[in-house]
Amino acid sequence: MTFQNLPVHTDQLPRVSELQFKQLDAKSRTAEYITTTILFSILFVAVNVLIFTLGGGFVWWVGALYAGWLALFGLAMWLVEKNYQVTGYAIRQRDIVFRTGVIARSIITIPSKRVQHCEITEGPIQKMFKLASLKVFTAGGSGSDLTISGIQKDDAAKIKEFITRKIDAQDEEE
Amino acid sequence: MHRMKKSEEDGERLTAHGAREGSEDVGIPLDKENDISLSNQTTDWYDFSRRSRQSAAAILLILLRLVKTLGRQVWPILLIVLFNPNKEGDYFYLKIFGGIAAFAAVRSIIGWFKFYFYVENEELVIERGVLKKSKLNVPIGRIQTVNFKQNVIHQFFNVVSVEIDTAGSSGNEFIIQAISKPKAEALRKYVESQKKEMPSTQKITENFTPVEEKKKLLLQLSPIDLLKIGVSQNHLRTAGIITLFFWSFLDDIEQAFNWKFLDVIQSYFENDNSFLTIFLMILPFFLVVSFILTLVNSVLRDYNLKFWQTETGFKIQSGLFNKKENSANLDKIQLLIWNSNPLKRIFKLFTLRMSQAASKAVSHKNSINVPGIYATELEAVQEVWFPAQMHIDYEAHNISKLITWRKVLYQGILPSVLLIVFFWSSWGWYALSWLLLIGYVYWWANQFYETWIYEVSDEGLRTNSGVITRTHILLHWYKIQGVRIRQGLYQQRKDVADLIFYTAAGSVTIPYVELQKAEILRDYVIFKSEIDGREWM
Repeated sequence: MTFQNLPVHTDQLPRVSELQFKQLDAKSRTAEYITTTILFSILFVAVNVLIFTLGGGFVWWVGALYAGWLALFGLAMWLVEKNYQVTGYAIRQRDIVFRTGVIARSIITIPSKRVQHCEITEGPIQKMFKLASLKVFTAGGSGSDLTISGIQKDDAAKIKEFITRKIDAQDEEE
Repeated sequence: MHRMKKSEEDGERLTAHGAREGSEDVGIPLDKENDISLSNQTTDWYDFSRRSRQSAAAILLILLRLVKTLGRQVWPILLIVLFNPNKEGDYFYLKIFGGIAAFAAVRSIIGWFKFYFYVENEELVIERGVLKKSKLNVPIGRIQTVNFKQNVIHQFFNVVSVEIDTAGSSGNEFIIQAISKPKAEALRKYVESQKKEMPSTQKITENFTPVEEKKKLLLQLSPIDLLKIGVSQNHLRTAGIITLFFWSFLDDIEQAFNWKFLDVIQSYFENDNSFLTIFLMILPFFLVVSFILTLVNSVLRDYNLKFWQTETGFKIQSGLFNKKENSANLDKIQLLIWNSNPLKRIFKLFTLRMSQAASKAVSHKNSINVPGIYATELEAVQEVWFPAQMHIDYEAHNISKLITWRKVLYQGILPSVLLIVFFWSSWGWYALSWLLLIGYVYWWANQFYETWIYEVSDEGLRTNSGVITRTHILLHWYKIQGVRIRQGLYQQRKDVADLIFYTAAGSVTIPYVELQKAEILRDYVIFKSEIDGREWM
């Protein structure tokens, strides 16, 4: 055992590291692909406008601009895929666990009774897929807030309901 | 809640009334409550369970604010349009501007129609948004304050804007732009009555009633203490501020005195040709000035400082010209942070900060700062806030040694290589002297590693860290509201992680903990926080 002085047998505690994380809704990846494509289409138009205003013709920097655009687009799409692979959440009886981070990995655990309130938001593209984002707010700084972005609207509502019930139960206990 | 919904029925109201009168015998002052019930009979009840919009005056207020913001953005264009004789071309801008304004106006009017608030399942619900809809639920028990604001237009229409603040992350959680004043008051009373029904929040409301409280003086700073505190401040910071100030006003000063500072320095260089002389002349001057300034500043700020223990927490008062009083509730204090620097260690002094839970993310005015405290008083404070900590076992742990090598690489080897490359052309082989930096950084990083110790007990955590300024943090496990394990790429490879504990008033990060340890500790702390029923803020 690593910690000798804790009264509970730490190896009997529920382990976050053994959790099965739930992925975001598969449609959220599609939604992200669409958002990224829209963004890069706008960027593409901007690049073309820039090339046109600076005088057309094919010179080396025109090629470089297009190549740069393509590389960034590819990178963004790769990040969307990677982010989808990594991001996961788990709602346990007494807490919420959320995993993120493509490069730097981070897993945060928030006890439900320490949650202040929840908010459900839907972006225009999320709406098309009946998706939503669930924001979980805690007190004080924003460090321990989290946003699960891209789950089914019904699921978001259910989780919110579940957490809110926990908050209320906590209030009544005292 | 129940009472509110069915208040139209007379019978219900009577029973509610009866219940109140019954409780009067117990001796709870109910004058205010009776006032509410009186006004209930005269004014009509507001049924907050029904979805309702803001007052129509809100449209005007929103539009006026829109005009204000737009005006602030585009007044240069408007000026051009108004004063430019060549009108033809500028109508283009006017049209664009008009279009944007019209769009924004329509959007805010639709926004008014889409904004609803109501009470459902003991939660205040706000629905809003035209394109992006959002629904915000706030449990009524979590509402900390309900504040009203009125500007001239509000007053004209007899409406108020209502700011509802919870202990959440972003300041005022939401604002209802305008609802009629009686309705707003009814809403506030409703929130308060709901909160009173929950015993947990009674504690909080008690603190707002100014009752003459018993208090015990923990600390009073004598003039000698003040002197010690002033002397042991961070003079380097003041010196930095003075230097910045001096350089930014250098031009003005030179003009005012018709005196070229840089020329003077140049002439010194020419006379003596040594940098050292200049340095030795300026350094004491800076040190003396900054020393005196910090001393004066801290004496003014901490003059006659008194620090009490009250029934509910702590209270501090100080100041010569600007008197300042601050109090902290024992429940609301999330972290105890104390530190010392080499000068303070000579005087055996610490500075102490108690971070309090507050709605604003970084609110230093909400924490209590004691600029100078001795070990015995510090212990007394710890005893009050964390009674168990004196009697329980703490197990000391080091962070991972890997942190030393990381620091040597990023703060030693890389900078020194860059510096050598940069200075190679001018210094030649002497540029290699930058290699000494690596040695220094190694020493420093090793000190950092050795001084970073976290102590774990079944009730809480104590951390000790810092090479020059030594910082100690004490926290209760049951106040933890989130734990994060974070790993960069290198940390993932080496199975170490940063372990972050979040409280309602800031977080504590233990860097480079062995992953296995971090996970066990995380699981344990989450468990402790979840099974503990104590009020934590």
